[in-house]
Amino acid sequence: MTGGKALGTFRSFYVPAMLVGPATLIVLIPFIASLVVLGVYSVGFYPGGAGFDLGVWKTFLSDSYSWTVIFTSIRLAVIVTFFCLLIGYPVACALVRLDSMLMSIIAYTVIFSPLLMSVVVRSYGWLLLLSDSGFLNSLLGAWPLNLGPYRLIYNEIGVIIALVHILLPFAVLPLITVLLQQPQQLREAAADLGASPFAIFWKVTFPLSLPGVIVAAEIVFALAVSAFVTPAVLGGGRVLNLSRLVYENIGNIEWGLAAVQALILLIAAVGVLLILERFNRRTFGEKS
Amino acid sequence: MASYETGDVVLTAVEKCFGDSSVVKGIDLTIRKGEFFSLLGPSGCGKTTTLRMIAGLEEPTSGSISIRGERMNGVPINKRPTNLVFQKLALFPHLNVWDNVAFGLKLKRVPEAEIRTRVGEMLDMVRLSGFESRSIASLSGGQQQRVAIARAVVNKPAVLLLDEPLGALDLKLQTHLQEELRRIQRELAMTFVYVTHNQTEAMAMSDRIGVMNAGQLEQVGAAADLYLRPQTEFVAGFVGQTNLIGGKVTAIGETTISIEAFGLTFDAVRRSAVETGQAVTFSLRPEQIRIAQAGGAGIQLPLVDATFFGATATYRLQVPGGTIVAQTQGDLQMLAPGQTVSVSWPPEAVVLLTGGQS
Amino acid sequence: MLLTRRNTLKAAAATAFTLTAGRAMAATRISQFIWTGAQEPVPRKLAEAYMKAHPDVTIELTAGTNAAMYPKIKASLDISANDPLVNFGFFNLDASAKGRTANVFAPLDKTAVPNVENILDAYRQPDDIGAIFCMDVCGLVYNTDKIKEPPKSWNDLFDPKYKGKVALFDYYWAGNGLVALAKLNGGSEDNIEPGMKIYADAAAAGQFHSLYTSNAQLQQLLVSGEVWIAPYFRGVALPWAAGGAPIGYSVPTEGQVTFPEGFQLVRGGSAEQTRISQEIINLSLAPEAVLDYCKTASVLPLMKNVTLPADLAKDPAVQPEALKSAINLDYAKMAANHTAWSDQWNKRVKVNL
Repeated sequence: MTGGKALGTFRSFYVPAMLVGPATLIVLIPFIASLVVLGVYSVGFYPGGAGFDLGVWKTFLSDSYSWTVIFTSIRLAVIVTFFCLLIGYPVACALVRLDSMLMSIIAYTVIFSPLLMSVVVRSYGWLLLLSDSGFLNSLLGAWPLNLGPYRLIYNEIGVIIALVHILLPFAVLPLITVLLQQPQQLREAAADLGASPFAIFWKVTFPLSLPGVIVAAEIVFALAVSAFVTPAVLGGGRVLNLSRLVYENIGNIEWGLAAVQALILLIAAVGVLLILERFNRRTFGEKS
Repeated sequence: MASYETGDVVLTAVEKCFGDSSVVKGIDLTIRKGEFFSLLGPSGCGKTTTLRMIAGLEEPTSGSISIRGERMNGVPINKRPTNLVFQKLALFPHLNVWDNVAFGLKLKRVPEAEIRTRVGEMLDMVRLSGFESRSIASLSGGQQQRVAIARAVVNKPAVLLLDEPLGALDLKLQTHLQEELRRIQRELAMTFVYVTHNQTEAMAMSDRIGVMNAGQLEQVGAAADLYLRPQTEFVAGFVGQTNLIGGKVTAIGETTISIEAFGLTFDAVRRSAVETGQAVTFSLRPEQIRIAQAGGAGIQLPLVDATFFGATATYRLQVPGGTIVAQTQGDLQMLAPGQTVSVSWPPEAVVLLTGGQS
Repeated sequence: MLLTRRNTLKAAAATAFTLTAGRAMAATRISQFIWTGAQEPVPRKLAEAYMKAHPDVTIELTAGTNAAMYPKIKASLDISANDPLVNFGFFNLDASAKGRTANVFAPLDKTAVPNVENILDAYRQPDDIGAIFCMDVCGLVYNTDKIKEPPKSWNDLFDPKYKGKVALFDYYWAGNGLVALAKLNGGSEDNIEPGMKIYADAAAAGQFHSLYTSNAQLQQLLVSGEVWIAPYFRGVALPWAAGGAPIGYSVPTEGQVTFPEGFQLVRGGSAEQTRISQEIINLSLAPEAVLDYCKTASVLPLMKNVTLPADLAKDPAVQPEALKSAINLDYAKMAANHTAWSDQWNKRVKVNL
């Protein structure tokens, strides 16, 4: 009796625990450890620090410049997320509907190969494409348009363009997954009930893909809000985001301030994710 | 009763190929207005493809389809006067019961008040009043089934198409919903085209049945027609159990003909033109065969085995070169294998199968 | 069976440990930090020669910038005082000043590094914390296609005709002219306001194209012609010009900014590591090594026993008068003020770009 129960516990708890354990440890321990370190540093406990002190928090949060930076980081991430979804959605739809094996391979390679390349390299690539004498401006400047040159880098526009490119695959992947799960029959049923292709999309395909849209938004937002290299390379000093401030203050050996800023970055990211997650649950939680 | 005068759905020489494989091989069919018509056949016979062509989910490779006198070829699915109840139901999981049923009416911009009335009546009819705001996932299989029917029927299509909608349900629920469907169809006097592989289901519900095999329509008729007067071996075998026997015409009388098979003579009612010496196949339903103690009327055949089912019993009888099966009311349990019994049948029971043409 | 196998594993592990430990005892591992680009080849050459002569020594070279490396070294000492991330390396006066305050660097032993005696007295460091043996100068770097007449003054950076064509280094005070401008306008390292105001006003007026954070970015900006003029280092610009880029370096009449550089020994290494580090520093301070370095990296020697060859000495930038009038910065004060200045730079210059 006891033996059976023990075996049951073993199966129901220890076996799953052993299966997910290593991954959980790898992910959780460094995360929790660094959170603890950041928390402790942010209140003045660090080598050379003065001991418990909330001064850094107070100073940072009461400074209007800090809020400018926080809002810039969030605004940038929101814009990047919006465009990633706007561009990624049709791409995902097209990829899901590709019939030809060859076309699929080509399309997937084009869209996902950037993942294999360093962000630094890609950011410098955009530098070449978007500069005043770069490819895009030469194209616009050539006959018959004779436009520009437009300033496309060393400002927020350049950072947004490059981040959208870099993060696009992270938006497309969850969208593909959710679209592939959608039964073809639902679209047929909608058409049978009189829906035009446009109506099928807005009344069936799109609402059913919302969980994927939200996952895509969460991933892209989290990566965009904490992006460092791209704003540094393409921002030209104009894009003031939090991760850049964290980096600067580590360079200045201002551990306390860097910790405060890193924690605020985390809080901002988690806050937005929670809002999205809540939206997700409100849309789909009640009905199923 | 609805008028059977007009052809509601007319298929003329309809063919469908997918790549190299031909799935529907030339079908001519007229479905009457207001009738419950079933397309019956084994899986892969082309019945679902035929239904999808009527719905507009597939375009015929050749031939024409018209509904209420209007040619449907090239008319997109959302512009056809048909609605389809899908095999896997295909209910919208993100909408509640009410919104699922109202889906088609909203698309057609039916006034809000009318939508309210029609959806309400429809839910009444399928006995789902009170379930309006329930999610699809919270419904039982039978309830989901009724939502699927309501969602299609509420649009008052000229023709309601049903693609094996009861296949996934348990037997008791199936029987219940068959009655419901029949009731709804009668109340609305709507043309139903019902696809199924289940001959009992088809016979229970349909006014007429079209039996399909390998892309062709073998025979169209009422359940009794198909059962009592099958025209092809396939129909005879697929609709109920039968003994298919090959033989040769030996004599032609005024009202009967004689066929020789297994060295025995089978008398049949003369219905079609045959010649003496012609090779023929005929069907002899097991329950048409009468069995009595040895020495009675008819031919004497040895009993190979007997299986008792309670209400009925089946017997295998030895004939030269094979066996034939007979079925009786289960009251002859004294018969035992090895015994010789007297076997007879009325001439009407021997049905000559005249071929594959439909 | 299981026990036996476990024992075998234990034995194997023990053997492996002994082997590793034995090897570690025999060989000394030195970690040296070097700069990138034109500053990289000479230290590499010297390290390889040293390892060839001393097979028991392994020198690991880490290339990077002071800005990125110094915090890491500081952090490594905070974590473990006896295990610094690097044993010695190349540092500018800015990082040297920070490290002196934070007790990151150790004094050099004159007997182990006799060549420190040859450093010009003006650049000899108190307590010999560091051997600052060469110097770069910072002036005006410009695109020679866009600006035909070489710029003459630091004030050219704020000339309206270059509006939107000026780039600055983000934060690199010696390299972006902020402190130099403050000094020229009545300020100093103690009063940066005169310089900061000029930069803040110019930023608001749209004078600056962008702020760059790497040499590569400035090179791209200048070569493409998007930026015409920027304050920066001669030692960085000359190799670009030598490579054929339309880039020139000009000496502002108000004087170039001096940027002394050299070696620092990091605290916390073992006695053996300290000995070897000092030996390599001493070898690197030998006249031929210094000259090699100065030629490769386009910097000026600060040694009593090294003079530039005639062809290099002709450059107006390195003439005695030019160097006499050069602007010398107090890097210790700059290091102390860095955080406060960054804050102002962010709030007054970057926000207004």
